[in-house]
Amino acid sequence: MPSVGVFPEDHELAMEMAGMHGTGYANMAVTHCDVMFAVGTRFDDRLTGGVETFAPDAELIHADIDASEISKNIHADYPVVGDAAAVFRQFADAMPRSPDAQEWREQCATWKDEYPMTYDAPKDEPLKPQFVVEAVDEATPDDAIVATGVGQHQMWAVQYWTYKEPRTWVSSHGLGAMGYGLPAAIGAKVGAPDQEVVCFDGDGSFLMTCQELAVAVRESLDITVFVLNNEAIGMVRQWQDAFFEGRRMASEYPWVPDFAALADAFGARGFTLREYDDVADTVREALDYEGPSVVDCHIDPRENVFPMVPSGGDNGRFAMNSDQLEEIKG
Amino acid sequence: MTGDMTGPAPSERPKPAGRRNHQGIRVDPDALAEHQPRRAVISALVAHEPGVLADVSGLFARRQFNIESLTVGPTTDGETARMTIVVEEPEPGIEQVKRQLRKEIPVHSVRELEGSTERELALIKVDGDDPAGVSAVAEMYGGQAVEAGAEVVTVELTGTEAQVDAAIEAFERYGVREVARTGTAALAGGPQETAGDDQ
Repeated sequence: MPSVGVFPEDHELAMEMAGMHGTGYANMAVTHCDVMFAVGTRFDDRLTGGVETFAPDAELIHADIDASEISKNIHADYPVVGDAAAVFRQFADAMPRSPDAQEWREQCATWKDEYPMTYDAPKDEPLKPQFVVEAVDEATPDDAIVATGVGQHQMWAVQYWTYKEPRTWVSSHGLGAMGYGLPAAIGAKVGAPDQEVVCFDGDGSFLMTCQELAVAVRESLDITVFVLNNEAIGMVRQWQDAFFEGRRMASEYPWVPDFAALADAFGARGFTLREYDDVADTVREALDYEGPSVVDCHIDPRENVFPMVPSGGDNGRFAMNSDQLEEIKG
Repeated sequence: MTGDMTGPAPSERPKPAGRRNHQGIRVDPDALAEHQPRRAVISALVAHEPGVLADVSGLFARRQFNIESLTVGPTTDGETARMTIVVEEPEPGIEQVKRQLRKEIPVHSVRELEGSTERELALIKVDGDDPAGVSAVAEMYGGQAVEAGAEVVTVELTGTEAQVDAAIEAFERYGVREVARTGTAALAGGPQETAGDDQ
């Protein structure tokens, strides 16, 4: 996830993120490749799942600037310690032409067709979060910076936004810090005042640091927060439903504040979004507002994050939906 | 919510031929290859300042390394301290211990010692019913009674970890009440220097 943006996701060779909530095609590619060239990754458990089944056929070339990352979690057949740019340059010099990968590329393209990141969005049902993420992506330039909190909204923001530029994804990754989104968006705007900055937050994450709106207003920072509001700590609820027989505990919040009114009280601009027909206009209006704005997006509370590899599971046996999740849980 | 995404079910997908062991090493699927744990004595030269021991022990706790003993004491220059760490880990774990240690800023150098001089000090409190027997065993292991009363005798002895183990076992027949051991301290053998990184 931290590498999002280093390779344009609209490129035909892009497979996007692998791992627990990575794409099905990325997980197929990782599971079936015979050589893996890994640069700057620590092979976090969210990427590898169970190490026994991670890229089991692959000879691993692992390049990292930190020697203690090499063979820490996955044994490197070819360890390379060094700066990523220098390593890439040296590999390019050592390999004057690309290996013939025609067959593999076709295989990857087939997987992309077989496991598409689709979702249904019936207009008479509550808003789908994926739709909101795609609408904001469409309304912003390629170099727009996305900051997030932690949870389901973070996964939808990484899955359904097409990242094309480096350094456009700001998230807390392995630290798992809920509430990171708004302060990170503020920092991003201060650091890159000429780029559009948006924050996707959950209602849970936003409630942890929403008081930072005061800073954004005081400093006149033009940022836009989209709260994907499902009145739940959604990722916790998803796990309680999937792995704890639906025994929900402290994950449902049947009452949450009116985030639009809250934004107005801070001197920011608040919007509320419930209908598909209003998405394009409201997103436009919020982005155009000069100063911090908050869009309270009331999304379908039943929506969960897929694909999914259960903790410690086999990446090649990801679930595309809850029926497949039941199958792999056995 | 069922999730609306479709695609071949997990059971219908192709399966990779290989597998890895729990250490992340690719193995022959038909053979079970595991690295067995071995004992390694690692010497680290560290800055002699508050907090270093906490940093290092925190590192071991976080990474769940199996530490047999850890000793630390100042060297002669007043600025550095020498840490001797005995770990019992499979080969990849031992390498990882060294790499993680080297990453700590107050750690100057890390080296695994082989053929080194190793000693630890033990204080052993034994029942005093048979003071002559206790003294004889103490003498046999190069130790001496440092406190002898009507009820208990406390023996001090130094030796390698294995020698101390053997001595404590020998004292068992007299009734060992308590033991305090310092853990192994070690210096590189012969004229070679203990500080420095191994390659």
